[in-house]
Amino acid sequence: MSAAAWVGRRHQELGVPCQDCFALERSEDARVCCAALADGAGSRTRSELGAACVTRCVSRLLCGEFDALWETEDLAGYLVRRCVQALALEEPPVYELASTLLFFAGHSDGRWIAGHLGDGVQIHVGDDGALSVFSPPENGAYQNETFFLTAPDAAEHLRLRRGRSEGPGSLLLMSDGMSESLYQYATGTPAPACRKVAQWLRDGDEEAVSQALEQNMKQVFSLRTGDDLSLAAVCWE
Amino acid sequence: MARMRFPDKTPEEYILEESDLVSNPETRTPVVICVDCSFSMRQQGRLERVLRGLDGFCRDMNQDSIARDSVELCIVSYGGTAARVERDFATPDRILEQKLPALRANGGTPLADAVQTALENLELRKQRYRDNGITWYRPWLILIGDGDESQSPRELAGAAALLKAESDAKHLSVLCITVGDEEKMECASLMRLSPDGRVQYLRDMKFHEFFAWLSRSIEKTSQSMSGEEVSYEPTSTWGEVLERGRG
Repeated sequence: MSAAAWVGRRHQELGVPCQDCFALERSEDARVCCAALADGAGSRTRSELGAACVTRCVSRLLCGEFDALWETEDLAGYLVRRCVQALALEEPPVYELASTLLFFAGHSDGRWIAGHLGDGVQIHVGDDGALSVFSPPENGAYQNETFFLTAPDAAEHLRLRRGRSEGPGSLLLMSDGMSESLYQYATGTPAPACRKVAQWLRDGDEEAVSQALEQNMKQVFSLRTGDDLSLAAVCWE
Repeated sequence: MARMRFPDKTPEEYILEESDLVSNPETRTPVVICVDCSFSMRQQGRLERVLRGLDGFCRDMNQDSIARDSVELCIVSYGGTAARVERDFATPDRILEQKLPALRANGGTPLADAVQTALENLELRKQRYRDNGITWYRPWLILIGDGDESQSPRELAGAAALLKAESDAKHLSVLCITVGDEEKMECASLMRLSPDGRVQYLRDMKFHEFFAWLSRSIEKTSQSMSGEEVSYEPTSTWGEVLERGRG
């Protein structure tokens, strides 16, 4: 697993912290690993805290309780409730902590659980390099409207999937700032760069790829958008 | 054994190239401005002042690096017996290239027809966006006038219902501006059309201030990011709010 986040040009100019956040977690027995990523709502005052809180909460839950969660019937509702409970322990009101959420947790026995609420994209890269959209963005009526974890109907919008791995592959989770350059909205087509990033992760070590992602955010992606940037990449055998 | 940091490549080789990425078209902000061209707009040079304000608005938009590619402006005139599209949706630089329409004030105030014409043209534009995979922000409809509907009260009621439905569904931001005389103000029709029953009275015909405010508001919209609720500056620098039922 590798990941990076970078404060967008517009937030840099305004002195606002990066509202994108990620968490990479492994279970104690190293059988489960989870990558989570959240994009804090631009309209809320402390959404960077919310994004950090929910990525931490979800990744720890999935690594700590994977087997139980695999069996849980209303998993979307359960995860949303646990996240909101965690947010309620933060100092600012929950409303100010709104964010999107994307996560993927894989077990060494091949089972996986993935979730996506709001915008951002999840791209699957097959072992042969084939690109496909694993989970597209969910926007409101307009491009600048999306769905957040703190909304009353969050569980309805949390798109949850469970499955078993059928061979090696990779998954890239990204916020909407990254998807502006890595996902063609009109056609739903991933950019070739997704294949390169997946290949880096298969060939290189995690830390090096995280550094490469950060370097690209700084030198390439931040010149193409004013938005915050974050990307988490997971690959499995 | 721990792997080396960059086992096969130098750090420079990990930099993605432009050809690896995609470009998405700028999200558009469609703006329809309906300008009253009834006879009364001749008074105090109202129509000329609207046009000067529009010209400044296009220039402001053209200077903003994001709004320049995002804003698409459509100008509808309403005077005589019908409304007409004077300039179809185009970016501010295209509107300036073509020059603003030479509008003349004459005849009645077909306000309901202006709303119908604006909404029909907006729907056509949105369909073009859909066909071409272009996203858009919530459109603006701005009605500027100095008098009441002169053609059909029934059509006015229909137009008001349409605007209310579009506004309630967050499909449209509607702004009604009256520029009539303060003492014998005729803005009952605009109040009827305004989804929240509010009309902005343009004090001292501050068109320049109004269009500057509109420029800033649209720039904010076109720079907004996902999940951001756009908050606009107060309108008190150029307008006075008149509300339905308060006179």
